[in-house]
Amino acid sequence: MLKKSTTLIALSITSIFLIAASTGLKADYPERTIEIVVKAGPGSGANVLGHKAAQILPKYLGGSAVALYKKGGSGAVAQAYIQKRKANGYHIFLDTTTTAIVIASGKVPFTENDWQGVARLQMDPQGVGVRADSQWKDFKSLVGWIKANPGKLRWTGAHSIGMDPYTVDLLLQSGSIKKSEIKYVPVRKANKMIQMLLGNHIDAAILNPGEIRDQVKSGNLRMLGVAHTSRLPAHPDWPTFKEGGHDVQAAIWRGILVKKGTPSSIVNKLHEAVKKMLKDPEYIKYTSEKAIMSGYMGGPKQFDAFFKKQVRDLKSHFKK
Amino acid sequence: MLENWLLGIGQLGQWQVVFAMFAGVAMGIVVGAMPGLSGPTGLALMIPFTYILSPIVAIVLLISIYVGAEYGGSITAITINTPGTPSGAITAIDGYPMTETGQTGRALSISIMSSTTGGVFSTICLVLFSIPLAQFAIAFGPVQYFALGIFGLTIVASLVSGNWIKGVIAALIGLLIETIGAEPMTGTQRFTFGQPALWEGVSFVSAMLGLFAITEVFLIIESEVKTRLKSKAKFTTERISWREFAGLWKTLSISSVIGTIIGVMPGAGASIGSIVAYNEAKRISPNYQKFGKGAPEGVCASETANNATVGGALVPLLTLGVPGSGSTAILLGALMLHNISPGPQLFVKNPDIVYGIFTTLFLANFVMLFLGLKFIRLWLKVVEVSPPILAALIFSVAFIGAFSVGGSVGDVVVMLIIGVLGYVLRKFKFPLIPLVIGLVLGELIEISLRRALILSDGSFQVFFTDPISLGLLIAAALSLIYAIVRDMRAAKAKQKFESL
Repeated sequence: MLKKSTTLIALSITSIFLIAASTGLKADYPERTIEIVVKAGPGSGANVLGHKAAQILPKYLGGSAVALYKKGGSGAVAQAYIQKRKANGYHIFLDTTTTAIVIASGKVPFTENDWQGVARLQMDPQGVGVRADSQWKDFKSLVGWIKANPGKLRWTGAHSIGMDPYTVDLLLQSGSIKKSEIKYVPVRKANKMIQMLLGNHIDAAILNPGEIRDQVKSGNLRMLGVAHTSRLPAHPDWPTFKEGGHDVQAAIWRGILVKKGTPSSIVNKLHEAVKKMLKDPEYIKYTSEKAIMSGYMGGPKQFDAFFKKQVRDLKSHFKK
Repeated sequence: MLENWLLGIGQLGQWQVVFAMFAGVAMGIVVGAMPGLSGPTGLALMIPFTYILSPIVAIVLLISIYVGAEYGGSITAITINTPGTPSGAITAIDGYPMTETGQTGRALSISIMSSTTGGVFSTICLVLFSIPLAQFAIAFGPVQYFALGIFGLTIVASLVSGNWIKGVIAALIGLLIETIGAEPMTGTQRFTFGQPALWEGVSFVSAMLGLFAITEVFLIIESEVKTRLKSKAKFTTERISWREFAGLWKTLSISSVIGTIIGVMPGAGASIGSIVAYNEAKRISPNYQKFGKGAPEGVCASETANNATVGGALVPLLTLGVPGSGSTAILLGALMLHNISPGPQLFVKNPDIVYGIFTTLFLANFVMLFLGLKFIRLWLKVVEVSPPILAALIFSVAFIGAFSVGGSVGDVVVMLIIGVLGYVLRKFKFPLIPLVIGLVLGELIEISLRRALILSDGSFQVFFTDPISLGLLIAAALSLIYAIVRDMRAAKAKQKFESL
C-alpha cells in the first residue's frame, strides 16, 4: 500500500523535472521546446492565453512550446527568470500591462530597454461600473456629483499603483477634478470590486468588459463608459468616455516580449507565427467566446515603440 | 424546479460523469493530503486537462476534487502532524494527539464522517437558500470583515489556556510574518530584503510546510520522536461507531452552520471556518479541558466546518459570479474556459449546469464517505512507516509542495527558514496554532481596517455603529472574557484540590 503513494510521489517528481529540463543545441530556430513564461496565476486571462499560445503557436513556428508559470513579485520573478537566460528566443515572456507598470515604478532591476516587443495580441479597454440603481446614468453626471460633493465618492480599482489608478487619474484630470476630491480604495481583484459594489460598500469601480458583462446583463450594474476610441463591437450600447467629452483611452494589453538582443531573424519569425496564430480558427473561437478584443498593432517595431512610450508615460505619472 | 432537477440528475447518467466523480474525489483526497497541494493548486493543475472534456464532465471532475481536497487535508494532519491544507492545521490540534494515544483510526473516521456531514448540510443550504444567502455575502464590506477577523483572533485566548504569554507571542509572530511583502494599500515593500520572491508576501503554503512538515522532520532527525513513536500505544484500527458519532450532534450542527455561513462570505475561507467552529465547539463543550489533548469534538468541529464551507463558497460564485474562496476562484476560471459564466445569468441560461453542480455536490460527498472509510487502513500504514523513511518522505513532499506553488525556488527557501523558526519555537514549547491563526487572519484584518478607514475618513466609529460589526466585536469580547474566566476558575479549582 505504501508503494502506491511512493509511486505517486515519484511520478510527481519526474513530471516536474520533465517540465524543468530542456537543454538544446544551435540550429534552425526553433530547435527545442520554447518556454512561454507567464506570471499570472491559473485561470487568469494571461495564463489562459499562455496555454492557448503553447498549443497553437507550434503549428506555425514548428517545434513545440510549453507555458511555464513563474509566480512572484508582480512578474519580477518571471522577468528575472528570462533576463538570466540567453537572448535566443527560447524563453518568451507573455505578459500584460503589469510589466510596463512594474518597470516604470522602478521596482525591478530591469528597464524597458532590457526588452524587445514582439507583438501585442489582445487588449481589454478600461471602463467604469456603478450599481444599476444608482443615480448616475452617465459619466457626466458622476463628474457633476463629485464636484458637488467633494471627498464623498467611493471609487475602487485594482492596486494603488497600476493601470486602474492611472485610469482614474486620467478620468479625473479630464473632468478637472483633484485626486483628493474622491476616496480611492485599492482592492486586488475585480471579483472583490463587484462584491463591494453590489453590497453598496463602494460607489464606482474600474472594470473591464469581461468582468462586468454578466452583471450588466442581469441588471445589477451599469457601465458608465469605456476608455476606448469607439464603441466596442461586442457592446454597442455602452458609451465611450470620448462621446461625453472626456477623451480618455486606457486599456490592459497582453503581448509577447523577448529579452533584448534576441536576433532580429528570430524576433521576426516569432512575429510571423504570432500573426498566423491570431487568424487560427481555434484562437478565434476562444477570443470570440470570451469577447476578447484583438490588440494587434503591427510588427515588433510598432509594439516595441508603444511599450516603451507607455513605460515613459507611466514613469512621469508616478513621479507626480 | 423538478424538471431542472431531472435535467441535472439526467446528465449524471453518463458513465464519464460517474467516472469523473470517483476520479475527482480520489484525486481531491490525494491532493488535499499532499502538503503543499491544496484544493486551489489541485484544481489549477487539472484545468489544462479539462479542455478536452465536455463542460458537465469537467465541472463534475473539478467540484469532486474540491470536495475531496477539503477532507484530504485532515489525513496527514492526523497521522503525521503535517496538515495537507491550511484548515487541516486546526484538525491537527486534536487529531495528532489522538494519533499519539493510538486512536488514529478513530480520529480518521471522525474526520471523514464529519466532513461528509458538513458537506451535505452546506449543499442543502446552497440548494434551499442560495438567494437569501447571497444577500448575506454582499452585506460584508471592509468594516464587517475587520470585526470578523478580530473575532477570529479571540480563538487564541481559548486555545492557549494556561500558556498565555507564549500563545500571544506566537500569534504576534504570525501577524508579523503576514506583514512581509507588498503593503496592501500602497504597495510599499515591507521586510522583503530586496527579494522578489517575497514581494507578494510569504506564501501560505510555504509557511504551513515550514511550520509543520519541516519542523516534524527536524524533530524526527533529532530522534526524540523516534523514541516517542516506539513507546507509543499500539495502533488500533478501530473506527468510531455510528452511535458514538451521533453523540457529537451538537458539535456537528454548530460547525455545519458556522462553516456554511463563513463559506458564503467571499474572502473568508475554509481555514477561518475551521478556526471559528473549533472555538465555538470548545466553548459549548463540557469537555473543553480535553481540547488540544485529543478531543474528538475538536477534529469533528474543524472537519465539519471546512467541508461545510464548500457549499457556502458556491453560493456567491453561482448567484453573484463572485468566488468565495481560493478554490472557487479557480473554479470560476475553469467554468469560464468552458464558456459558462457563473453569476446572475447562470440559473436562467444554464439550469442544467446549476442543477448538475447541486447533484454532483450531494453525490460527491457520499463518494467521499465511501472512499474515505475504505482507505482508512491505507492511511494507518503511513503512521507505521519507520521514522527515518517517514522523515525523508515528508521532506521530499514538502520540497515538491513548496516549489509547485509557483515554480519558484524562493518559496522553498522561505519554507526552510520558517521550518527553522518553527523548530526553535517548538523546542521552547510555543504553541504553533496561534501563529497559524495570526497568519490566516492578519491580511484580512489589515486590508479591511485600511479600506474601512479610507471610507470613513479615518474614523473608528464605523466599527461600532454598524450592527454586524458591533455584534461581532461584542462576540469577540465575550469569547475572550469567557476564556479568561474559565481559565481562572480552573486554576482556582486546581489550587483547592492541591491544598486539600
